This record gives sequence, C-alpha cells and structure tokens, in this order.
Amino acid sequence: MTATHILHVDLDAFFAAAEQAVHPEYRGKALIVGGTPEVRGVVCSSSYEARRLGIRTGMPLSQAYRICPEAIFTGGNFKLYSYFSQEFHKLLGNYSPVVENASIDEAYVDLTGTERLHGILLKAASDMQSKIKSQLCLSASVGLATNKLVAKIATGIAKPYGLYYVLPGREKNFLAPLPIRKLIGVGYNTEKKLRSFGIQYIGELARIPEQILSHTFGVMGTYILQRANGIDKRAVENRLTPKSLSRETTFATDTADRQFVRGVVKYLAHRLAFKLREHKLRTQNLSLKIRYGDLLEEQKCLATIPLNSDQRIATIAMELFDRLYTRRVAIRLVSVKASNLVQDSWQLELFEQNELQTDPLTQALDEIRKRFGKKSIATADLLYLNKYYTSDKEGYVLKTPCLSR
Amino acid sequence: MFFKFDHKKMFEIVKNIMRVVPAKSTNPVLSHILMELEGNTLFLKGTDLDLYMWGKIEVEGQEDGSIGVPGQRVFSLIREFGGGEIEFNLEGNKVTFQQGEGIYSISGVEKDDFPSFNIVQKQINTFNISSSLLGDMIEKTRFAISNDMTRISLSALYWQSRPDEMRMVATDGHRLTFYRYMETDDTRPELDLLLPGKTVTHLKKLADDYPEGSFQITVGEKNILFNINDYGLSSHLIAEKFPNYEQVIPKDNDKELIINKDKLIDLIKRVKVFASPLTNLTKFELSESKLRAYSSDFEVGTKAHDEVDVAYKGDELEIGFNSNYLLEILEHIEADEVKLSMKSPLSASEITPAEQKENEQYLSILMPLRLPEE
Repeated sequence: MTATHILHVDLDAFFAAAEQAVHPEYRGKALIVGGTPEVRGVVCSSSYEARRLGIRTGMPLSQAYRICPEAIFTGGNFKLYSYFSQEFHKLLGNYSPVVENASIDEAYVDLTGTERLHGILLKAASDMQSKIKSQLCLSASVGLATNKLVAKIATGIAKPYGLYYVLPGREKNFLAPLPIRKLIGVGYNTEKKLRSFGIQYIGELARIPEQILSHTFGVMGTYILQRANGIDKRAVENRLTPKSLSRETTFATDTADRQFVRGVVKYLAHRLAFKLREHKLRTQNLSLKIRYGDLLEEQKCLATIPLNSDQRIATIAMELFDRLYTRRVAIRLVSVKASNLVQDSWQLELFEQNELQTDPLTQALDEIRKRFGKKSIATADLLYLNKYYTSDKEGYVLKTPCLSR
Repeated sequence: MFFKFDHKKMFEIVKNIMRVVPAKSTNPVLSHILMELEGNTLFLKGTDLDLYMWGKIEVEGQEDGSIGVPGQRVFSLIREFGGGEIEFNLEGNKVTFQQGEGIYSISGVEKDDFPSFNIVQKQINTFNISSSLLGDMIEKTRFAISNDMTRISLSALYWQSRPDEMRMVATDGHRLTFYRYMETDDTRPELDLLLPGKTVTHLKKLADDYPEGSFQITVGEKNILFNINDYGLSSHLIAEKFPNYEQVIPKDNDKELIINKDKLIDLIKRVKVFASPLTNLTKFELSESKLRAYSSDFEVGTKAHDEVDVAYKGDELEIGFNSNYLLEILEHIEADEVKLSMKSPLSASEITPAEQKENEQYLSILMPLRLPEE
C-alpha cells in the first residue's frame, strides 16, 4: 500500500481576516470581532495584530477594550464568513476529489494518489496556500502528513500562514515533545487523569502499555495510545449531505428567564427547520443542549419520524427544553441539533394533505422568507424576542452573532 | 385458594398471557397475571390497558379464590419446573408453588387492584369467522399498516364486513394493501372496524395457534372481543375515519407487465444492494421485451444495472420505486406470476397476482419514488 497523504488547511483568524478582506481600512490594525465594547459579549475572533497585544478568543469585550482601547470593534457578519467559507472549500476541490469540510474555516484534503497530477505535494500545498491568499485575500496555515491527526496538529504549529510537513515515518517523533492535550480525544477529564499518572507529553503517553490505558479509559484507551503513536486510520470523508445540522447561541448575559429562553429555542428551531428544507433533508433525531452559567452541559434527544416542518421541530425542541431545564442556574447557551438525517422523501403520497409532505403553509412561508428575508414573517409569539434583540433582514441579531448561526 | 395443575398446560397458557403483560409499566399491577379459580377451572388474565387477554385451563381445584402473581417471575419459575404435577396454594397474599420437595413462595396482589377485564360494554353484534380465513386476510394486508403513531387512522387495519363479502385494507400513505373475500354468509353483519396495529399482531398469533378453530367475535360500541378455544382477546377500536381508499385504487393504468414473481424478486434484491440506503430507489425501465433495473449511491460511488426478459404491454416507461416496499408486496403474493399495472412515473401502480384465486381479490397499490433529475 502506498503511503497516504493528507493535508489539513485552516484559515488564520478567519472572521477577522474576512473582515479585513472586505474592509481594506481594517488591514494591519488590531481588529476585534464580537461586538462593540458597550454591549456585553465575548471576543469571537481577533486579528493577529490584536492577539499580539494580548486579546484572546472568548475574552469579555469590556476586558478587551481595557487592554486595547484603540482596537477596531465590530459585530459579526455571518453571511460574509459563509461566503468566504464556500469559496474556500470550492478552491480546495481543485486539488483533490476527496475534501472533508471539517468546519467553517478548516478542511482536510486527501492528496493520496495525486502525485502524478501535482508533482511534489509540498509544492502543491504551498501553491494552494498562495492561491487562497491571492484569490480570497485570506491567510491559511497548512499541515501535510500521512493522517488527519498529525496533519491537524502540524497546522497548529504552522500558524500563522505557515506550512508544516511531517515526513512519513516521523509522526511519532513529531508528536513526542507536544503536551498531551494536543491529541484529539484527550479532553479536560482525560488530561486530568493522565496528569495524575505523571504524564505530560505525548511521548510519555506513547510508552504506556496498552493494558493500563484500556483499564482506565476502556476502548478509548486503545485509541488514545494509537494516536499518541501517530496512528490515525480515519478516512477523509467528503459527505455530500451533512451528518447533522445545528443552530445555537450564547446569551449576552446568562439568563434564567424561562419564557425568553423558550422563545429563543423556538426561533433556533425555526432556523434549523428552514436549513433542513434548504438541504432537502429531514431529521429523525432532534437534540437540545443547555450550557449553564457554571459551564455544566446537559443534553436530551428524541427520535422522531422524519421531520422538516418549523412547527413540529419547534414543538419538540421546546418540549425537550422544558424537560431538560430543571436546575436553578442561569443558562449561558442553548443549541438545537438535528441528526440522523435522511433525504427529503421523493416518495410520492397516496393521500394528499398529509404530514410527510412539506405542507403548503410551510412552503408559502419559505417563499416569503426567500424573497423578503427570514425576519419578514414569523409566528406572533416570537415577537416577544423583539424586546431583547434587534433584527435585520436575516432575522434577529443574536448577541455574539458570529457564534450564532 | 388451592389447586394442583399440570406443568405443560400451565406453561402454555402463561406463555400466551405474557405476550400482553408489559415488561415495564407505570402501574406496577399490570406486570402481574391475575389468577381466578372457579371449581376446576382456572382463569388467567393479563393486560397492558390497550389489550386484555385471558385464557382458561382445567386444574384440580380444591378451594376457589383469586390473586395476581408477578408475571415474569412466575413464568420463569414454571418454565424451569420439570414436567408433572405442581401444587398452588394461597394464604393471605402469599402464593406458594410446590413440586416434590421444592417450595417457592412469592407475594401477590389483590384482584381489586386490577382494571376490569369486561371492557365490551354495549354489545352491537356477534358473529363467527374461521381462524384460517381471518389469519390469511391479516397476513396479506397488515404489512402496510403505518407505524407512525401520529397518524392514528393509518396505524390500524380497516376491516369491512358485509353479508356478501369482507374486505381488509391497510395503508401507510405510500402503499396500500387490499384483500377482498367474496362469499355470501347471511349471518355476517354489516360492520366497518378499525383494529389497532398491536391488536392485529396478537390476533394473528392466536389465529396461528389455532388454525383449525373459529373466532367468535363480539363487537361493542368502542371495543371488540375475540374468543377462540380457551382464549379471549379484547381491545379498543380506533374511532377515527379511515381514508377513502377506493379513490386511490387506479382505474386507468394502461401499461401492463406480467412476470415470474421469483425472477422479479431476485432482480430487485440484487440491484438494491447498490442502492442508496437513504432512498432505496430502484429505477425500472420498461420496453417491449425487457425490464431493466438501475440503482446507484453517489455517496459511495456504486452503480448497478441488470435486466430480465419480460412480456410488457404499453409505451416505454421509466419509473422508480422504494425497493423495500416493492419486495414486501411481492413476497406476500401467493402466485407464480405477478401483474404490475402502471400509468406514469408519478401515479400509483397496482400489483396483483397474474390470476386471482376464486372468491378473492388481492391487490397492492404502490406510489413511485420521484426520479432524480439527471
């Protein structure tokens, strides 16, 4: 078997870079995306100029303002980022038929077997990087390795605007000096546990006998060990249909106002249902997640018949919310997610006017929204949200908008 | 309450009653089997509040009484007993099973805690039907019952009884099965019933257990009761309106394919392996002497094409079906040759045996899958 070659591309400071691409006046300046310092919110993204001054993603905007009052503060423009993201993924398609869109600003490209087309792969990678720069005005970091895990970590090291190539056979040595939390699969809890064993670096982890790890972590232990040794067999998947779709928002301030959060859940469910219909998909599993102010997360899901209507999805989402929200702690984030997706049925129906066909009301609403914007028509109870959010053509401007799709 | 019973007979009846006793329930009494002794007859009853089932066996009774025993435990115990005679004794609410030196005690619940099993209140009609006929009608139609609990009327089997014929119809909105039995019986009443899907499943099991027997059916205003041999099964009826199925049975399908059933099943089974699991779409292309079947899955890059020789009357046609639906319909037809009549890729197709049996009419209607634009 020939060696695999997998490339991981990640756009540097994506939201900030996209803003700088369309606003030349922002270039070379400290730019903070997330909102203006008067509103409560957090930094979603910042330019490298701002990062150099100590601005970090997730930092409250007020604190960012204290550190760097001269920075440019701007709200997010998700449509713009989404456009750049599409163009970015389109460009990658020129290099290989197998591209996995890992998120809005990163992707894996399987270059295995493209040597005759591209020649030296490192050159192809660098060519891709400069194309992204010249065509999209965005800076990308690139990692090239024999598997997804190593490629992604290499990208992290290459940032910003770098290129890192891990030679085949050198994966283990490459990972050895890195701290264990860099490994995919090692989260907060696993790290804590490993640290209690006295393990800090991936190299140390790689020397632990498999038995000990599988006793402690079960099946995951074997995976962790494989990964510590630079082995990752996951394939680059270019899915035509997404595995799941979700909509979420973080509140400007943590809130315990049940009616308000319920309204937001309903609104997110409507947005999600609209997206499902756009993709011609239906969901068979709906889940709702709450993150509390103390960062505890809870989640509940429900299996359903294939659904795509605003009303049905919102009813289920709100029902899940009612069942889930039992703690007397303010909520920080809510998320509605649709998974186990199936294609919107091409199955024709014997009897008209039934549940499984997109009903005429939903169809009419979609037409109106496509023409006049998502906010142009909504159920009356959602007007309650007017008290809390301003709105534009695309709908309510949720706080920390770039985190709120 | 005291009696002696034969192991084999008791095991059989407890096994049958356990079919309706729920494994989990919010009402703990429902996980019990109610035992009632009258002379030498022991009645056993179980319910999940949707279905009520009971049966009786002959035992050697000494003292009448009644008690509810934990279903799963007692079922397991009786299963593990060797054959032969076993003694049952009730003192207070303590039940004891004794065989030889073995003594097994468990506490029971009182009869009053059970819901009433006499659920058929206002009796409208009674009539008889042979078990084999009822079982056959159910078998031919029930697979099209919808399992979508949000569409109550479709999650049921529609049963129309007339003195000169009986019909059973099931549909899930994508396909429809229709069976008509044409033989005059003046004792048969005129009735339209909607049997819940779960009731149908249990009724079929009873019909399979007693193929030689005959059901005595009592219809109430909201409920129905089936009696066969030593068993009774009763359930509520669905009070919704079944859709107007006659309207969707196609009348002017002008394209007709007659084909050996097994040949068609084999073809579909082969081609479906490469179909997308999201749609199960198999596309059929019909021309004068050929039936071509195609499937593909873009996600993984599969593509299949296969064909068989057929006798086809009509203009050339391209039509798509969910292969699982079509297979299920074909597998229920008891004939060597089947007939598919079609009109267009967007209208209902009808699938029947090439020749109907005497006294019966059996047909299935299947809506196509819209073909993707190429």
